Amino acid sequence: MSQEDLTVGIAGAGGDGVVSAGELLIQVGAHEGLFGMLVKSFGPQIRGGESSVRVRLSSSPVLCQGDELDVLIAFNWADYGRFRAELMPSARTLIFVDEQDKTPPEQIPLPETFKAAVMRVPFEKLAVEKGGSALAKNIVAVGVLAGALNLPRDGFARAIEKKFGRKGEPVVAANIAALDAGVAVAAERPRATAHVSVKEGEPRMVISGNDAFAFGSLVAGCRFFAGYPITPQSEVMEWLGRELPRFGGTMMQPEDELASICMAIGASTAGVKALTASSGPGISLKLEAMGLASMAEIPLVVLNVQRVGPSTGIPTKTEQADLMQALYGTHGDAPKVVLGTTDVDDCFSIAVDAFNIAEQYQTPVLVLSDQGIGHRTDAIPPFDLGTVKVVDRRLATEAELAAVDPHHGFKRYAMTESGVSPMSVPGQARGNYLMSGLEHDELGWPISGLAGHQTMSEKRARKLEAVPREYAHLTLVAGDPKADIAVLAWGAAKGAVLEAMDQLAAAGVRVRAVIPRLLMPFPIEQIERELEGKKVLHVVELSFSGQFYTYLRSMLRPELAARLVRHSRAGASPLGVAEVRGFIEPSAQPIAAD
Amino acid sequence: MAHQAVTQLTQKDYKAALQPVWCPGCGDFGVVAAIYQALAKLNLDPDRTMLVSGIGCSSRLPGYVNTYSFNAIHGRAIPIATGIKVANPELTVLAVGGDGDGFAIGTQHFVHAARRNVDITYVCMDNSIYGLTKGHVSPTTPTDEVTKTSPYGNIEAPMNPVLMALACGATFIARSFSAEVKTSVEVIAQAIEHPGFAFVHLISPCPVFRGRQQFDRVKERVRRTPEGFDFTKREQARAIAFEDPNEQITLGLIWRDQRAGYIARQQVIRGKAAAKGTPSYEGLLHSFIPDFGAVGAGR
Repeated sequence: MSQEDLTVGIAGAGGDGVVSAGELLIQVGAHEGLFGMLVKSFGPQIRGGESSVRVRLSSSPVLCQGDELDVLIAFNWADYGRFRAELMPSARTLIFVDEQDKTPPEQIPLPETFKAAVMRVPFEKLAVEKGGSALAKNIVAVGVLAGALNLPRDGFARAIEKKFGRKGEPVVAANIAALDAGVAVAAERPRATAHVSVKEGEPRMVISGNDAFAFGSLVAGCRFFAGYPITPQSEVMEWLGRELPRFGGTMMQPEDELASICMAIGASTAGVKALTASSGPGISLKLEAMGLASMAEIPLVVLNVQRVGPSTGIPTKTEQADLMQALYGTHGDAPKVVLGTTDVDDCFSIAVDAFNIAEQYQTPVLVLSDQGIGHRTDAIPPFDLGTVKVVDRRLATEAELAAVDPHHGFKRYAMTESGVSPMSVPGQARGNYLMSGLEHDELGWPISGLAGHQTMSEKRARKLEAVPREYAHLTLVAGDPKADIAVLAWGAAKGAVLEAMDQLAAAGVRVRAVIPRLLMPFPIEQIERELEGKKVLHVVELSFSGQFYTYLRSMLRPELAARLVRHSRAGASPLGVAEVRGFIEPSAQPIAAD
Repeated sequence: MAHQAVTQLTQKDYKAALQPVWCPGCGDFGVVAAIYQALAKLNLDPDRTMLVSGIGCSSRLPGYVNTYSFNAIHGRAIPIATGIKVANPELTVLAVGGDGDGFAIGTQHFVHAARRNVDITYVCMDNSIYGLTKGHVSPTTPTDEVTKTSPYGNIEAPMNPVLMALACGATFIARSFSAEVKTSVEVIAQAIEHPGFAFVHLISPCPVFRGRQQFDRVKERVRRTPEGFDFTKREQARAIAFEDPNEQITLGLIWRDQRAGYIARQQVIRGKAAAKGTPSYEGLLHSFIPDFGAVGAGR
């Protein structure tokens, strides 16, 4: 692993400013040109409970949240104890605790061997003395981190100036004094072995997965959103609620999930690109209407920010167990497109792809994100707006509409070679027709016989056949193409898989990673070509029952399917790098250079 | 803001080629005739008019009208109509359907559309039975009525759509009877012109599953709003809403309120959002890039 990479954990009580400290760290890191990832975790209280953050900073792109910490700061042991599983130290971790913590040594939630090295720091005392208030203890902690990790102190000072500027000069000065007090503490202590080099002049953007998806949707031309608040989706509607009206669009929060998707369907019917979003429980409610969009061939994007299920599950934790619902949840043969975003950066581009596909193929597109991606904040290179390509639906031309027999109306579902028919929107003269959830003929008129149903079923399926070809960039491949071992993963599992692959490569083990982001229609030819000649096909996912494994078994040809090895577990905690290495290593034999 | 056709259209121009599947004697024939006439009376541009329905006998109606039409899924006519109207306020949007669609599976949408005061017209064709499924008890079936799913008589009390509309804050409430086409045309046209959520309770008997006596009982009890009735007076509207339908059923405009419609308020919101400055994607991108001011600041 690169030394240019470090991970910090901070835990404390409500009011300790844990989250602000984490945000300051990633923002300053980003400002200094570092890549980063910030993962927040909260207790079950609605407000004011314990919280923790994990911040990873690196001079190269951060793939996942990493495993062991380089630095741990605990404002007290009791609160840290609640996040122990998320913030595991190792023997080389620098561990700091507030000296006011009176936990007896035997109750400290650390392995015995680590306890002797814990450094007691007067965070709160210094905050009061230098910063004028106990509230500044998170700033003292940031100072300690800046010192211990060799991060530029001036960057933090500027960020503090910006953050507290509105509160007046004395507040800024006090907080900078608190920062310097922390830096001074660190100067007397050991430094972390890991460090990162900053590169001036390459600022990163700091954005969450949910904000990135909302932003991507806006750029793709989305001007209507309807949704119902649900964790972990709500940030998408909060962001769009703020921005859509500025762009002449609308965000609505109707009475339920059913109304949300139906309003989006209505808006799209009227010619406006529309999005609805939810998490598992809400998606279950939306499925019937998704079938309507499939049947009536209405462009629509639906986002599922997955959380732990079934039922209410664990709303604030991640899982990849809504895959089968996404693929097959709707009754009837209801073709649709399913995409899986793999990280924060992806959320932006996949939102654009989702709208483009929806418009081009007049189909519902369901995008699977998850809590881990949606809620985490990454420091990444700014999105390249110049390369965004926006596709709009194929509207019937005036000439086409002039030729319409006014007695019967416009053939909205006209048979075409591609299966995609010209569409009209209300307001277009002579374009009126009957759109329907009933099986219908070319005019939209209800039919009930086999021949028509067979023909229309073929039309709806046929139009999506081109998607894997036209959107081939949605399949990600990485690693050594000549490797005997392949790892198949989708969604957020990508991060740990790629990092494990890099580590294995460094140890002489060749691995190929294949990560489809287009999950339906499944790019079978492309995937099978990638898997050709591989001896073992590891399938890695956060689903207790192994839904992706089951899907692959059903899609791949038998001799490839027989080589699939399932590595699946329940969610609630993201896949770790060491965990993924542990899946792959037993099948690996280091290969001599060829 | 209703858009009119360029030339003067007649009711025939709104009649689609698709033939109704309704049974002989169905009240819905009277309703669709009234809709043709109301659209013609307002001379609405068929290309800028949209009818949306859910599922049920009456929900087949949009297919019979020569406008943009949408026969969607059970209970969801109102939210789909809302999405259409909000996305393109230039359109005249009507949601239509039956009592099961609007007051059982889709009740919540009615409640909130009324509160939201979204500028659509909702015509509920109330036959007090599930006709499409061949005679099952509905939320407006009278108590003790025998149907296929109330073989010993309906144990539940019927819902009162007009009273409910009033309670939910609907700003336009009218009632008509399928046999009273003239009244229907009048109130549907008024409803379309109303800025805000307009509800028309249209009693539309089902001779097949409720028998001829349902029609006769309604026919005997209907009356127009009495001389001097003031639909802007809450207590007068309330008195009609609380009528016992076994005694009397009042037709006509029952209640109208001037509360601003959703579309008008949406413009206010956009004005507030515009005050945040000229929107641009580049500006938004920039908002995600930490900027702490000039290098060298900070002491």
